[in-house]
Amino acid sequence: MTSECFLVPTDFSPDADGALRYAITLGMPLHAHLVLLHVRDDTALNPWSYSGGAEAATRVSLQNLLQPVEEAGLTGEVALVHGVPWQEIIDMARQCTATLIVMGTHGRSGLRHLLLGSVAERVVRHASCPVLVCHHPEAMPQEGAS
Amino acid sequence: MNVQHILVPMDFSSDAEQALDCAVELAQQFQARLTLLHVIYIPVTTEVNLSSYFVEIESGAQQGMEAYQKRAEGKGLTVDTVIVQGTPFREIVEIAKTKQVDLIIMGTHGRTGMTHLLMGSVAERVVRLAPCPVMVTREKAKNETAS
Repeated sequence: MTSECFLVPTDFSPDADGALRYAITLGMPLHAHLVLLHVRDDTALNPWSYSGGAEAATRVSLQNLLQPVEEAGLTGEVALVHGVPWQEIIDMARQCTATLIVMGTHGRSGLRHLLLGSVAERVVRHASCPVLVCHHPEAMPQEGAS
Repeated sequence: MNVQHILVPMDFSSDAEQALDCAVELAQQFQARLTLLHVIYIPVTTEVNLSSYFVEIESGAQQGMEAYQKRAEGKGLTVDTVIVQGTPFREIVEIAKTKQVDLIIMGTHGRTGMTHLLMGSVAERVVRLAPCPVMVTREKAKNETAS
């Protein structure tokens, strides 16, 4: 495994945060480069999509997620795109030749009773690289998580 | 969040072997131990006595698993193997729970044929039900056509 690049899609949900922490843990000994991706789903009826400042705010939130990455001594970058989340995740994985996608099971759009979110399910099915799916953080052992 | 015990379900497909290679590399990084699991799946229940058939399958599986175990031990890892009979996804999830593994690494389990198309792969169900994170690896050759 040389020059690892992990793609970490996030929708700023607790699950996505858990996946990011996992990606950092996994990435440290491998000196992985992390690409944090947020996909704005334009197909969803989301009032945020129409507010002007939302995109800038999202970019700031995304940028903030880089802090723990850099604190762990890893390099990272952010990407903000529009589209259908699972498709954009797969496209981005190809583009940045990701060696691994790390993501949570539930997104914000996922209904809690569905054990595996539809985005994660589709990514597992269609991605061209390995996919690591993390479960909701409360179900995982946590050390030092606030 | 740590990686100390990795479960690798093996079905003797090249897909699974690739997952094993990946697991070995990660285990080396984290000094984790590996548990290799093979689930013997007999899809039909029957009145006919299949015990001799089972013995044959089981000894074949045992040999295969020992080969994998040696391969991983050759890389300096602690490895144990488990062979059980049952429904693959159920047993994989069960063993992950009882052995308290903290990561499952598996291929899409290519050997399931039609079942895969109709009901989703073993991997998908494991991802759904596992108590821990699951890494699904995949065969390079199939990648380009899948989209």
